[in-house]
Order: sequence, then C-alpha cells, then structure tokens
Amino acid sequence: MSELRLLTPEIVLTICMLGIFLSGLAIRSKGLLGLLTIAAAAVTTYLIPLSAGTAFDGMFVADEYSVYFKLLFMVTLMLGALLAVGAGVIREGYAAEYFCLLMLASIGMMCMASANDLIVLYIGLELMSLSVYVLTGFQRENRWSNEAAMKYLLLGTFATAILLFGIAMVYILTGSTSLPAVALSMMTGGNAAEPLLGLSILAIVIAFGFKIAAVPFHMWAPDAYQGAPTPVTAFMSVGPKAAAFAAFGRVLIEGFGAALTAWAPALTVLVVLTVAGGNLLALRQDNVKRMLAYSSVAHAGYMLLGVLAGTLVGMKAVMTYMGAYVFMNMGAFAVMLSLENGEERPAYVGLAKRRPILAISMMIFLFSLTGIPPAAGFVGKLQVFLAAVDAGHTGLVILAVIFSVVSAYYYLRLVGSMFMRQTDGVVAISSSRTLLFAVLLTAFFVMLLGIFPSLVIAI
Amino acid sequence: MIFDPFYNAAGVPLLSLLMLIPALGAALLGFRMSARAAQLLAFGATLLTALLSMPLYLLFNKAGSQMQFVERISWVAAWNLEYSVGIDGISLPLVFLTVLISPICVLASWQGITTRIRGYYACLLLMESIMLGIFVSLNLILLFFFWEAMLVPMYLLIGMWGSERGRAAAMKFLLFTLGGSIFMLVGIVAIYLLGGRTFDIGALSNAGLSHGAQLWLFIAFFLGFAVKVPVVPFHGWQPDAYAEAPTAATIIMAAVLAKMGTYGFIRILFPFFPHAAWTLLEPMMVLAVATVVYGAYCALAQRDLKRLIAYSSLSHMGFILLGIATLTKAGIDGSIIQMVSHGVITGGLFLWIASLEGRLKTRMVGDFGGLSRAVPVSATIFTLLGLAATGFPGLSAFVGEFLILSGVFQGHYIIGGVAVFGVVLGVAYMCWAYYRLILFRPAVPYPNGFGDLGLREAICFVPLLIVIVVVGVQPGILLEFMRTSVDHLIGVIQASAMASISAGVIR
Repeated sequence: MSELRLLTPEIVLTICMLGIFLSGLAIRSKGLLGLLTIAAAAVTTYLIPLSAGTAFDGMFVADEYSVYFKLLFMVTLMLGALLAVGAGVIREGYAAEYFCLLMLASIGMMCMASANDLIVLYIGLELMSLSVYVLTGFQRENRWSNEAAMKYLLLGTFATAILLFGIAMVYILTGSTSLPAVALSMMTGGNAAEPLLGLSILAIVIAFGFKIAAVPFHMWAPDAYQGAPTPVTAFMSVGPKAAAFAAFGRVLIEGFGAALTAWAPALTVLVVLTVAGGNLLALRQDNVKRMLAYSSVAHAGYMLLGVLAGTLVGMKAVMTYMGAYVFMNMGAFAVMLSLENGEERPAYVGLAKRRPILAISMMIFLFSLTGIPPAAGFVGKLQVFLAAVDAGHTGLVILAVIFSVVSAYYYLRLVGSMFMRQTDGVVAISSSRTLLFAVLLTAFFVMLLGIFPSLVIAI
Repeated sequence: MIFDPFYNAAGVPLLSLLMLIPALGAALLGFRMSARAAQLLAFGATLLTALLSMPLYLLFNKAGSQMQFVERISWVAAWNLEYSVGIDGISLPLVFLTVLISPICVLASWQGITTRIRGYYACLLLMESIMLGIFVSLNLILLFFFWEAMLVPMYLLIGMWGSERGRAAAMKFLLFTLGGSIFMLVGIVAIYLLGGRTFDIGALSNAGLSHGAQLWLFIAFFLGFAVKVPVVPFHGWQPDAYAEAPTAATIIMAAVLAKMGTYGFIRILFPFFPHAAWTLLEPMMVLAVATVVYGAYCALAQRDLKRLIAYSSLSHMGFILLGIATLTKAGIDGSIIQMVSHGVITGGLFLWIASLEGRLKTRMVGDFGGLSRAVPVSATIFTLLGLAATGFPGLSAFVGEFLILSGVFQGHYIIGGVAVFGVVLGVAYMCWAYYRLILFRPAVPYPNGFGDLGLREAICFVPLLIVIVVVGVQPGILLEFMRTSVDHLIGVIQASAMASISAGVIR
C-alpha cells in the first residue's frame, strides 16, 4: 500500500479524469470543463514534487528527473486545455471526451517519465499514443483529420511494435527488462560485442525516433500535425515529444550508459539527418502549420544532441530545452488559433497593424524558436551546445548552429510579413479572450525564462 | 547586488541605470500617446541617459587599468554566470559615443518618420540600451545576449521604416550577422569548457589555452566580429542595409554597431588568444588594408550618396582594424580615437544626406549641384564633415589615422604604403562628391521649397562638430582616459606572446 503513495499524482489525475468524464454527462459548458481540467492539473502539479523514491521492485521511480518532466507535462496539459477552451474546433458537446483524452495522454506520459522498467515504459507509451491517435482524429467529420489519425495510428503502431521487438531482444540478452538490471549486465557481462545488442539498441532508437519524429522517421509528423485540430497539434508537438525524450534518455543513459559506443553512432546519424532535414524541409513550406511541424522536427534534432552527449548533464540540457520549447511552441500555436485561417500565410500579413499584441507575441515566439536571446529558446540551445561540446561533439554543434541560421530565414520571413507588409483586405480575427490570455501567458514565460534562466534550468 | 566600493566611485548602479532608462522609455511607449508625446518621451529618455553618463567621466579613475563602476550579481548559478558590468578606458569612449549619438538619432527622425511612431522610437531606445549593454558587459554570455538581442530592433527598424527594398536588406543584415555570431556562440561554449568553466571576460583573458585551441577559437570569434565591422569579404550586407535603412538606423549602424565589432577585437579577441593573434597579425593587416582599398574604390564608383558614404565607412573601418592589428600602442590608441571620430563623422554625413533627401526626395549625386549658393549653412557643414572624413589636420580623423599609420610603419612598410594609398583614394572620392554637390551647377533649378537647414536640424550637427574639432585639436582629452587601459592590454598580450616565443611555441 505504501508503494502506491508514490503514484499519488498519477492516481489523483486518473480520479479527476474519471470525475470529468462523468460530469460530462451533466456539464455541457466547455469553459467549465476546461477549468476543471486545469484545476486537476494544478492539484497534480502540487503533488508531483512531494513523491520521491522507487516502487514495485524498482519498476517505477520518482526522482528529480521524472519530477521535472512531469511538471512540464502538467504545464502542457494546462495550456492544452486553455487552447481547447478558446478554440472553436473543439465543439461544446464533445468537450468532456476531449479533456479526458488529454488527461489520459498526460497520465501515460507521467508513466513514461517514471518508468524504470521497459514494460512499464511500454504501457505508458501505449496509453499516451492511443489517446493522442484519438485526439488527432477528433474532428470526425473532417477528412484531413481522419487521414492524419489513420496515418499516425498505422505508423505509430509500427513503431511501438519495433520497440517491443527491441525490448524482447534486451530480455534475451540480459534476462531482465528492468533498467538497473540491464545496466548491471552491460557493465559486467561481455555483451558489447554481441550482435544482438546492436540490433536491440537499433530497434529502440528507431522506435523512439518515430515518437520524437526524427528524420528519417518523421514522415507521419507533417501530415498528422497539419491534419489534427490545431489545439491537438499544439499539445502533441510538445507533450508526447517530451515524454518520448524522458523515456529515451532514461533508457539510453541509465540502461545502456555503459554501451555508449554501441548507440552513439546511430544517434549521430539521426542528429545530422534531423537537424538538416527538419530545417531544410521547413524552408519550403507555405503553410504555417506545416512549417511549424517541420520546425518541431528540427528542434527534436537539437534535443537529440543533448541525449547524444550520453550524460546526465546532457539530459539536463534536454530538459531545459524542453522547458523553453513548451512555452514557445504552444504560444506560437495559440497565436495561430487566434487568427481566422491562421494556418495560411496571408493571415499574418500586416498583423502588426491590426493586432499589435498578437504580432509582438508571435515575434517573441519566433525569435525564441530561432534561438535569439533574450527569449527562452536561447537558454535551451546554449545548454545543449555546452553539453554536446563537453562530450566532444563540436562538429555536430557547428552543423547545428549553421542550420539554426537556416531556421532564422523561415521563422523571420513570418515576422517580416507581420511587421513589414501591409494588407488591403481585412482578415477576420476570432476574438477569444481565453486564447489571448494563453498567448500573453506563454509570451510572458518565454521572456521570463529567457532573462532568468535559473528558473528553467534543471539542476 | 554587490558593489566593489573601491572601483565603484559613484556608489550607485550607474551602468545598469544607464541601460535601464532607455529600456523603460521603450516600455512607456507601449501606452497610447500622441506622436509628439512619443517623440518627446524618446528624446527625453536619450537626453537623460546622456546626462546620467556624466558622472562616468567625472569620477573615472584615469590611473587605474582595472574595470570601474563594477556591478556583480549572481545570475545563473548552474553555469557559474554572473550579471557583471563595468567599464575601463577602452569602453568609456564608446559609451560616450553611444549616449551622444542616440539623442541625435531621435532628432534626426523628427520629420522623416510618420508611421507607427511609437514602435519606431521604442526600437531606437531599445537599441541604445543594447548598445550600452554590449560596451559594459563583463562576461561573454551577457555580451552575447546583447549582441543577438540587437538583431531584433535593428531588423524591425530596417524592414519597417526603411525604403521599399528594406525588407530584403533587413533579412540580409540579419542572416549575415547571425551567420557570424553563431560561430562566436560555438567559440563561447568552447572557451567556457576549456578555460575553467567561467564566462568572465577578465578571468578568460590570457587563460593559457594551447596554441591550437587558440587558433580555432580565434577564427570562431573573428567571424562573429568581422561580420559586424564589416571586414571584406564579410561585408555583403553592409551597403544594402546602410542604404535602405531609415536615417537613424543607418547612423546607429555606422556610428555604433560597426564599433561593436572592433571593440570585440580589442576586448576579447586579442586578450583571449594572444598567441593566435600574434601569429595572425599579418593576415589580419592584409584583410584590413584590403577593406580600406576595396571600400574606397567602391565609393569612387557610387552615384547614390548614401551608398557612397556606406562604402567610405567600410574603408574607414578597415583603418580601425589595421590599427588594432598593429598591436602597438600608437595603433590601438589611434584605433580607439578613430572609432569615436568615425562614429561622429559618418553619423554626421548620413545626417546631412538625410537633410537633403528630406527636401528633394532623392540622394543621387547627379541631382544636386551648387549647394554652396542654394543652402550655404548646409554646404558649410558638409565642407567640415568632408574635410574631417578625408583626415584633414586639426580634425579628429587626422589624429586617428596618423596614430594608426605611425603604428603600421613600425615595421610594415608595404602595408603602410597601401594604406596611405587608401587615404589618397578617400580624398579622391570626397573631392569628387564635394565638387559635384557643392560647386558644380545644379542639373535642374531647385524647387521653391528647397531651403537651408532649420534650427532643429542644425542643432543636431553642433555636438558632432564640437567633438570633431575638440578631439582634432586636443586629442589628449580622449587619450588620457584610455592610456592606462591600453598600456595594460598591450602589456598582457605582449608578455604572453613573448613567453611563448621564448618557449618555442610560436615564432
């Protein structure tokens, strides 16, 4: 029983989720349900730092690492709920389902961050993935949304199957699925030369490569991101990605830390392809939503650089990066939601004149995504580069910074159209106060974390 | 906040206040207000900053080579990073230049800027804060913070209030600058890890890096600074950005932003990597004279006045780099004087062009002529500025160029000869422009509204001309501030280079 105490945040969030599911029968108001979701996330946020230790024979841990990620998930959940309340795409009648799925996905993500065993990891991953598949296809009557969900589901299932394959091989090799046991076997046994080890690591890297949308496993991402309702896109470009990084980092560094030489080459290839591919593909996009999808691919590449460092320092850099990324990316999507037809470029032309606050906020997000101080994105980039150079990957860092100049072009072209061009026609703007609040909140945090990096740096 | 009572003669966080006032002004511009109120607010903020910088000159201890007015406060403990600012004799003249130029920029925009006035002045004020920040930063991250943050208001200034082709020029400016500074970022990361996990500029100076590491890092930082100066071949953005930007932004770029690059050479590049600097002195001198001659030749070919001055500015920046690369006391002294002098003269020239363009809506040399009769006051001012730009004795640029050349001729005769040729070219294009603008007959008679400078315009030139003449006649006013700091700098670099020469690391 005492072991269950460690799971208090997850259990509380699950109970809240069930409560909202039931109250959905009585409450039709999207605003109220959203508020309840945010309240549930807030309570969970309070509970998360209180639990520390391991449970169920070490299968489940709550440490600083998992706490940081879980707090990020809660921020993502709250912002995701806020966007859903403000967005017209999520209709009143379906709100309860929507918020439940968001919370379910978050519970899965929390399991992933705490998983110290490959099976627990798998369960969390599936819970998260299935919820997000449904969310992607949430606009049932929209064909694009359906297509996106189908694509995501098929490729995602494929990826999880590969993961399972990798887990099975790890079990054959080490006789256990628990990460500490795997680590022990890596250190003591002469497994390093085993072909099976390379194969299992390859399977795990490919599976997580799918989940974080690293090139060449990114094919699903642009379509799924574009087809999904924008509040879902905002959520899934941040939350599941953070969770996948949390699990990926723990598996590689805690489990296979001793076999660094076995997985570093594969990850190096992944970093090069992802940073280059994501940025180059984003360059050609005319659709803003699709551009942000490719940009999120590129950001996964920068974060992989931190994982590649192969140390806890590197993972901490990834955490910092993620902390900044949550706010800047969700903020950019919040601005997109605030504009009528915000997925297309024309909606942004001359925005500075029509809605200066939205335009300035969007500028902050875009400069932050580029990695220009004093916005928070710079802090993440700097820490990742510090960790990577420290681990001897100077060449990769130079490649990454060169491509960050490429990214400046496509991000700032949007700033250019907002500030430096005039439009003749009047573009309608959905004037949701909730969305404006979300935009201002995220912009505030992007600046705050950029100027006081200590707030977001994982210690 | 920790103040070192010994170095902080003022007893208040003066440097932070200096940076804060324009930023606060920019924040106040967020409120709805009339155009006139916005102008007055911006002018008030820049003027207040200029007044508040007075204690810096009065209380500055000229005998000390240490940083003064130092403020330190822990910023990011995880990185061993402090918020630390301070000035010495090298940064003081540049702080002086910044607070002098900023109010003039506000006045210069009085009539030219008619749209989105609050945003414009907010950008200008932010620029002032950021420029001051760069010159007073005592650690690399803070410096880089300002270095990159500068891109945002500058990009907007060029793109939003520049000419029709401003958008393209703004993007070019941004990508070039970013392209240079990212290598600097890699350099900062590397030197943090190699130099004992600190970002402090003082601690990293002469941190005893190996010769190979110094060479690589030198190149990384050099790229960052060279784009900003700019040094040929990294100058591609400069003529477009200078020509398409609104006047105030051009003045800021030419007068102050370019100096950020050369300041970086003096503050960071040479003290951090003395061995590499010693090895690469001659290649740098070659780049510098190439910039001098290339800029001058391009200036000769221009018909657009703004582009002409842009290229002449490129040529003069080459001189500054040349002086630094001599690594002699005369050369560096001359460079710092030239930084102030070039800032004031080029700023004045762009201001003067703007006064013509405001009246005739053109800035092609061929559209003017006979200005000495049409607008005598304006023509007189151009005469003074033009003389100053060519290095006429008794005016500030002469002092700078003379010191730089005397530094170069301490051993580098060929490079010195080429540089002198550059001076001659400078006289050539200035004389040509002067002849066409001031003396030659006008192509078409001027319209009726074409009048002489108004009082507001004339006042802008007064402080600039005063600086030009005073520094020209009595350079000691500036020199005495920087003497100790420059001596200290050269001593450190030479001692370190000599040590490694005798150890046989470098020749």
